[in-house]
Amino acid sequence: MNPTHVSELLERAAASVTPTETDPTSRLVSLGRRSVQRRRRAWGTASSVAAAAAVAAVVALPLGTAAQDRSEATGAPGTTVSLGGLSVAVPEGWRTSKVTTFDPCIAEPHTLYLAARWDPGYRRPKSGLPGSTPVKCTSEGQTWMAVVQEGVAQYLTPNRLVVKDGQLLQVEESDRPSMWTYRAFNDGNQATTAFISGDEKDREQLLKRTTWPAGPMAPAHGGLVLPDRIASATSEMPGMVGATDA
Amino acid sequence: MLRRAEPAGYEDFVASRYREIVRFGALLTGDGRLGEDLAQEGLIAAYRSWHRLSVPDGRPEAYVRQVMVRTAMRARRRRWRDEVPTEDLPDASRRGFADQSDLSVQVLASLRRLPADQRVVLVLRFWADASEAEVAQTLGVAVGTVKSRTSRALAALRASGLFVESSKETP
Repeated sequence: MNPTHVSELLERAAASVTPTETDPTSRLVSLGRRSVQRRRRAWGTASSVAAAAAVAAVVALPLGTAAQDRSEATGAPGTTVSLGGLSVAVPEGWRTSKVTTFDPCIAEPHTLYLAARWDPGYRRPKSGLPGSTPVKCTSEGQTWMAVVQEGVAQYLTPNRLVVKDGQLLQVEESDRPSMWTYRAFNDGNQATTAFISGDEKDREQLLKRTTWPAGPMAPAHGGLVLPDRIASATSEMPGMVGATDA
Repeated sequence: MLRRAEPAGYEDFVASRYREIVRFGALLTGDGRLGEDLAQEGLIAAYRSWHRLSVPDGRPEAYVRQVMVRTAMRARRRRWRDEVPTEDLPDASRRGFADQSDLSVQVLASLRRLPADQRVVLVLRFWADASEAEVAQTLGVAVGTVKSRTSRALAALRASGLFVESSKETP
């Protein structure tokens, strides 16, 4: 059995399937509308609760603290910007840039990007393939950072887990360009992710400037205390992790 | 202010791609009817996000497929639709999908017997023609995990005897 045979058999099985829905367009538009309405109602309820909670918090807390909790604000160097609950104190001399889709391959040095999503570069020609021109990312080896709302997916077997701000973070290194991604190791599909490029010292400094929202509180009757740096971890499903410290 | 969803282009997308998306769902679940349910979940999710998928670089089908893959993977944990491996396709599945050859029925049954994570990897690698790295990124697993799941899935299919005839045709 070779890959071609498997592909052919799958193709044949797929071709044998005929949808039962005679008018899928009308049905899906109808289901889609209902889904949107349900979500709006749910968001409306949630917004009311959140607004009430926010009013209570503003009354209870000093005004200065409340002002720092603004999200999705692009600030000047020396200020703090936040996106998707993740905050970064902008280093001196850096600039911030708000983009819709972040492309790590063309990131500029000493720039902090805030983006809704990112381009993993699947359509970028890969070096080494016949007829393709090797791609050299201009951002390679530079120091930059991005906060992306729809970042990387959760890995079942992450390369490294670290604890920061009471939050268990999944840390992965990737190439094209060389960079590290940091995201909460929770059940979310694509959590807000920090992309950091630079040498180890730069990365650590940038990570120190980054604040994650606190993770879930440990139960009052006890819980697991995780080491700051975990040497290895295994997981077959989110929420169940076997971890060993260094 | 909430932005109203504009379904312009959505109907054309569904009309032109529905059949292929259902087929992808059928392979992901190993069942035509469940595959159609899965396809509809993906397409409803696309309707909700259509304002950002309908732009020139929106890639709505990639989005639908990603939703379907994640839903199929969650089925492993949540026993979605009480999926139970069986030797033969239930009669209900046969009635709704005409013109299925015995081999196609057997392929779907073999897929259904695979664990969801192996089935998804197999379909992405050999039907959607994704690279190991792309599958790893889509599923949020390491490339090594993709390799091992692919290997286990192929071994299971070989053990099922379904591919004996095909193997003989291999030069």
